[in-house]
This record gives sequence, C-alpha cells and structure tokens, in this order.
Amino acid sequence: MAFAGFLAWRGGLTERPEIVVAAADPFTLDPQKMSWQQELRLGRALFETLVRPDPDTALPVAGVAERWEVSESGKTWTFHLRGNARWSDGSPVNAEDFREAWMRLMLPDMAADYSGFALEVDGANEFFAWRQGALADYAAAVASGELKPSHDNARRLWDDTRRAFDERVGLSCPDDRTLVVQLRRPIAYWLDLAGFVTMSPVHRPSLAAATTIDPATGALQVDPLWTKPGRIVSNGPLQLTDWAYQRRVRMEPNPHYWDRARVLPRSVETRSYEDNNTAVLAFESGAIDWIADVTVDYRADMAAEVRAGARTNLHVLPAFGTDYFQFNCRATLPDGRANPFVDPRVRRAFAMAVDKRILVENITRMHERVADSLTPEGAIPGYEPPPGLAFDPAAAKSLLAEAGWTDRDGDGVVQNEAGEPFQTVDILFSTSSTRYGAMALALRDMWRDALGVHVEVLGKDTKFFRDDLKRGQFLVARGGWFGDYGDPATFLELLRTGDGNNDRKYSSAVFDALLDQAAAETDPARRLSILREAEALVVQQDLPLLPICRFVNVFMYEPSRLDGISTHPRNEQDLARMSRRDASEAPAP
Amino acid sequence: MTRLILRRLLMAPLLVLAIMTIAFTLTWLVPGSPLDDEGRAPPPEVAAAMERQYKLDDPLVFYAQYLARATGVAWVLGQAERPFDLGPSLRHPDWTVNEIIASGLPISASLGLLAIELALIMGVAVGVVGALKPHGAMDLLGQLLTVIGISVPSFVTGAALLVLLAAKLHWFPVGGWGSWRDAVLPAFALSLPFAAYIARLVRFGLIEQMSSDHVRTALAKGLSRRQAAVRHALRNAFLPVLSYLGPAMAAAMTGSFVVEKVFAVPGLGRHFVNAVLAKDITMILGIVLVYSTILVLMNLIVDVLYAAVDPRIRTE
Repeated sequence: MAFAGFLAWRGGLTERPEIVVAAADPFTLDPQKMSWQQELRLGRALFETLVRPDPDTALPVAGVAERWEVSESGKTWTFHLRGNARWSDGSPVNAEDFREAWMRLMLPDMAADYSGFALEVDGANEFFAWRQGALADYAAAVASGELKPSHDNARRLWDDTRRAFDERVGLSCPDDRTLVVQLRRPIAYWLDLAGFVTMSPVHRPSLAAATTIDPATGALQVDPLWTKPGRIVSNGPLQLTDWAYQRRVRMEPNPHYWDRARVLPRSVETRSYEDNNTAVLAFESGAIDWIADVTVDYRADMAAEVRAGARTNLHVLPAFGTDYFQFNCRATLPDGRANPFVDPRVRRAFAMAVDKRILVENITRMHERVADSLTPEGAIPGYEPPPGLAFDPAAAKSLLAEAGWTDRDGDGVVQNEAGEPFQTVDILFSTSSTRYGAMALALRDMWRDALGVHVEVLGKDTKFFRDDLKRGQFLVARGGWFGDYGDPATFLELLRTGDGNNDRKYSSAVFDALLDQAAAETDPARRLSILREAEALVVQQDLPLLPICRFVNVFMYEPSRLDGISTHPRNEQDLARMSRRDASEAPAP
Repeated sequence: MTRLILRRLLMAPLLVLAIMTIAFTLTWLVPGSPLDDEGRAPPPEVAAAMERQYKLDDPLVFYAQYLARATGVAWVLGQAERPFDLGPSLRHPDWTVNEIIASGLPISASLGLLAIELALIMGVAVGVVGALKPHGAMDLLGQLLTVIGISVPSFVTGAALLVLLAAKLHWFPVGGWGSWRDAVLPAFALSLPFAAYIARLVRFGLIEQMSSDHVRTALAKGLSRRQAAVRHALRNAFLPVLSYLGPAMAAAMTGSFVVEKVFAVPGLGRHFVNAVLAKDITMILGIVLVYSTILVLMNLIVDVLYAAVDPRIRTE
C-alpha cells in the first residue's frame, strides 16, 4: 500500500536554485490582474513596463521606453520604445502590446483591482461605462429572447468594443515603437503609474489564443491556463519555468531580454510556506536565502537581538505604509445608533489620548517609527508630512468636555448634557493577526483611563470584519495603507469623498477641494505644499483616522551571503539583480 | 451481500449531494464575497460586474449551474466542454479547482496512506503488547504513550519533530515536498493520533476477547496466551479498528491542515482551510465533493470487509 502511495509522488526538482525566496504563492500571474505584494514582485521580474522604478531610489528609470516627452499641458506623453526590446519568444515588443494591455485594465469584464491607473487615460472612464452598458444591454437582449446568444453576436459586440476603444480612448501608436498617451488631467506622478506592474505590456498572440467570448454574456473569458509555464510569454528579465500551486514559482533569465547583462541570478525560486516558523527554520538550515516577510511571533525577540548586536540576518526596515485605527465618520450607524465620533473634537480627543510609544515598544515590540501623519516621512522626494497631534491626555480630556462629554454624576464615565453615558466603544479588528488584538487591548486601557469611556475589543474573522467595515457597522476599527506610487496622493486619495477604500465615509468639502486644487497645479513644489495643507487638515483637525506607526518590512537574509535587496521604504525589489556572494561555491543542499 | 453493496452504491451519490448542499448553504451564509480580498478594492462597478459574471448574485442559479458542470450533466447536454468541471477557483483565478485537486490530492493521499500504515503498525503492536499482560509495565508504558498521542495536538508534535530532527540534527529537510525524506516527519506526526486510537481499540478489544468462551477453550487446549491472542482473539478484536479505519482513512488521505502547514506540504488540507477562510466557494465545494466521496466509499469498503471478517453480518 505504501508503494501505491509513492506512485502518486510528483518528482521534485533536485538542483537548488541560486536564489530561493520564501514568499506567499501568487494568486495570479496575469500582469493586469495582479494586486498583492508577492504578485507584483514576480510581475516586476517577468514583465517590463515603459519605465521601471530604480530599486534603491524608487525613481523611474528607462524600461521598454528608452526616452519620453511630455507636452506643455502635462497631459500628452509620448514614449519611444527601444528597438531591441523582445518578448521571451524572440518577437519584438510593440507599442500595440501596451495599448492592448491597458485596454484590458479598462474592461469591466477583467475586474482588475488596479484598473484605476489606466482609467487616468483620456476617455477611459467613458469607454469603461460604455462597455458596461453594452454588456448589460446584450445580457438583457439575450434574456428577453430578442438576441440569440451566438458566437456571431458576441463577436459583433466585441468588434463594437474595439471600435469604441479606438474612437474614445486617448491611446495611439503612430508606429510600432511609439506610444502616445493622452491623459484626462496632468498627473505629476504619471511616470510612477506608467511604471506600475499592472501597466506591463501583454503578448497579444498568446493572449488571443487563450481568449474566448462567452455567447451568453458577451464578456471576455480568458483560459486560466494562459499564465502557466510554457504558455505565458513575457518581456521581463526573467521568464517562468515552473509554477506549482501553493508550492513554488521558478524563473530563469529570459534569453531575449534586451539588457541580459544586468540579469544576475541563474535561477530564482519563490517557495510558499504556510507556517512562517517553518520558513525561519528552513532559512537557518540554509535552504532559503531571503524571507520576504517575517511574521513569526518571536520576530520581536530577534529584532532585540539585532539591536543588541547579536544577530545580523534580521532586517527591520521602514515601509511605505502607515498602520492606523480609523473612526467611523457617519452620523448614525447602520443599526440606528447615534455615532459620537461624527464630532471631530471627539476624534481628536481619542487620538491625543493614545501614547503610541508604548504601543510600538511594549505591544508590537518592533520599535516601529511612531506616526502622527498619514504619509510616511523620507519616502517622497520634496515632501515632508505635517506634524500631527501629540500625546496629551489632559488636553484630550478637556477637548472631550468641550464636545459636551463630561463625568456629570461622578461614576467615572462621561455623559452628555442629557445625562446619557458615552456609548461603549467597540474596537473592531480582524483576528487574522495577533498584532491588532494586542493593540486594541492597549488602546482600550488608554482610552478608559484618560477619557472615562467604556471600551471593549471586538475581534472578528476577516470576512466578518470586512463586512462590518464595508457596512459601516463600527465605531473604531483597525486599518492600514501602503502607498502605490511616490506621491502623497497615494495616501490622501484614501480620504476623498466617495473613494472605494474610504471605509470611514469621511467627507470634507475643504479637503476634496484641496486635492482637486493640487491635481490642477502644474508647479511641483506648489502642488506638494497644497497636499501638505490637505494632510494637515486631516491629521491636525479632522482625524478620520488615528495614525499609530509606520509599517515595517521585516526581512531575513544574511548580508554577507545575499546581494541585491533594496532597503528603500517603497520595497521595489528586483529579483533580477539578486545574487549569492557564495554562488561560485558548491550550493548547500 | 451483493444487494447490500448495490443499495449502498445507489445511496452514495444522494449522500454526497446532501453533504454538498449543506456545505454550500453554510458557505453562502458567511458574509462577504470570495472576490473581495484584503487587497485594493476595485471600483464598485467592477466588483458588481465580476459578481454577475460568476453568478454570485444568485445562489440558486450558481448552485444549479455548478452541479450541472460538476456532475457532467451540462457536458451530456452539450453545454460544457468537459465533464466533471469543478470550475475556476474564485480566489486563484489562474487555477481550476480540478487542477488544484489534481496537484494536492495525490500528495495528501500518499501522506495519509503512509500515516495510516504507520499508525496500524504502531497501534496494533502497542495494543497487543498491552493486552497480553494488562497492567504490566509494558502496558502502562503503552497507555502513557497513547494518552500522549491522543492529547498532544499535531502542531506541537509536528513543530517539535521539525525543530529537533530537521533543524537541529539535520536528519531531514525542513519542510517542503519532493523526495521521500520530506515525507517521513509529516507522516509520522500525522500517524500519532491515529496510532494511539488504534492501540486503545486493539487493547480493549483484545482484553475483552481473551476472556471470551472460544479463547478460554483455546487456552484450555494448551495454547499459550500469545498463540491464542494472535490466532483466535485478534481477528474479532480487530473489528472496531476496521470500522474506525473507514473515516480515519478518509480524514488522513484528504489532508491535515495542521501537519501540512507545519511541514510546508502543498496538500489538500491546507488548500481546504484557506478556501474556507477566503470563502472560495468553488474550491470549498470541490474539496467537499472529493472528501465526502472518499468518506462514503471508505465506509462502504469497511462494511464489505466487515462482512468478510464477521460471518454473522453476512447472513443478515
């Protein structure tokens, strides 16, 4: 019977790849659908955008485009593609490959998380809406029997879509090596967006071979197999040679890459370890070179060893993200209760009652940089975030009193003028990580002691947590945000009225107007100062969220053994430039 | 006997369908959408279009279409290209559920079979040794081991084995899957609770049988305790083990989340738990289908074997 079991064995690869990375398995390798860190990192290796961020500075450098110009208005960008850019099958990278890829981002059928960047192209929003309407009409006509759900009809809808795209969207290719992008507004950080992984080109023949049109709905359907090794054609420094579900992704240099000389590793593999502790043990046994995200609960102890000089292989680096708790800004909760946090003074009072230093030193114990602003410092050239509210429990208490909440009957709990006690504040968090439960408990004690309010912690499973958040069923909830591009807008847009990620439903006409004003400003320095003014409004006055600290990237690698990791907060890692210093020696098993 | 098997075989699909329907209903009741993750939120209209495309706006339509494709009815009717199409994973759009099961099931099944074999060898040995001399030193030691085996969770034994034998002594690789050396530790960790349970069943059964009439007769005829136990008592004492093996086999072969997680084994158990956490409906249903089918089949096999071992059942 044991023999029967072993027959089912799938042969493993015996040779150790030069670089082994412990990282989560990607959900998708379709560049336009990528959304997660582990996917974007692989996307960066497999594909190349027009420009790409330099790993050490995060500033855009030439990629497939060798040069580019921008018009006086700041809205028309012309990219000139290099003549020697090649796909992994040897065919040249064409400007149309970008146009096609960006069109995919503008299709509702694709449902790309990062469709927003492509929708900055002139006419893209209109095209998206047109396609959505056309799909709805098609489905309705099929449902009523007016239209036969045939391949011909679906094909016709697709031809119309292509035509609508050509007519409406400001993307054109005057020749094979020129891409002209017409934006709907001048965007100071457009090169960052154009260099984002989801803006990678797509190999049209292999995608076309995998695409069908569903005659019942008229929507595009892509055979999921098209991203598998042997089928996917990519234009980046590395190419995919193996992908085993929840197990490993293996890559080797793309022989047709135009800058082959800069590709250092012979092979790179990312392995997925469900249990981070196993990854640490495997690292210590020499089987792994880099753990891209150390989450074990004893990482704080390892970090203390690093501070004491007793360890060299753990690296706690500031990230381009902010950990915060957020206040619900709706006037009432979905269950009808009044929301005391609709008053900004209450939010400010709660923010000033939190001693963040205690949280990072005693609770997370990772000694993250305490944050009073939303945008991280030192990560965006030319921008320093405004100072926020400092810890001041006495001022917090008087601010709460100013908002009408004082302890009128001496029971230790504040009441409003009508004598009603401040309702119990539930701190909502997701139990997927132990970090937030511990933080919530500390916040509970701080608020209770400093402000005289009842506070409870409310941990929920991720799906339930997200559901409460979306419905607005919370008073205080944990949150966090990582920036996507090197501009304060990547953080501040989060607070704009109607933004899809504005779970707080914070809405300020002044703030929105400042964002609009900044967007229209063409002078870079003035633009950043307007954004700073907007940020000051939310971190000094309105406090829709309470910044706690900057996130950290926690890596494990031995600097004497592995070269090429970027320590810049943007965490733009380039797998193609990593190398083992001992690679010439016999590799460890 | 044949009629019994036939009847059970006809019942099996209904049973599986009932399990699937319950699983589907419970999954649907969990809030949130499988398409909503903790990553960036796409524009609301994008999310709505996606829900429509996957028929996630209507549970009945979704489930009916799913069943039609999964059972092959849609294929027979010419509406699908393949039979037994379990659809794409909603959370991992680059993979079909068929692919994921095809990659995870052989791993979990070989690991599970190995674990059950180890469990049988260890469990029967400990049980027999204990029962031959109840309350003797060996029996007490065996009982102690079975208590440990049953009560210590596998994330503890697994982590201990990993730290000691893999990380410190380097006898085995630290997690992963690829060579036989990768299978030893997870199979052992997985087998311990099964082994302990089997040891208890064997010990109890054997002690009971040793005082039964036919064994007393055998002893009176001059057989040693060991001979009597092996030739006459063990067979009957094994019956409870046999009925336990059905569900145990199904559980071990479809993968243990904990063991697969600790040892970084890319098996079905891990995929199942992650699918539940992400509300990946097609993945959940696909794995429930496999699990319930194996469970029903194992129970059927056990019943047949039972009849073969125990003549009293055959005549019923």
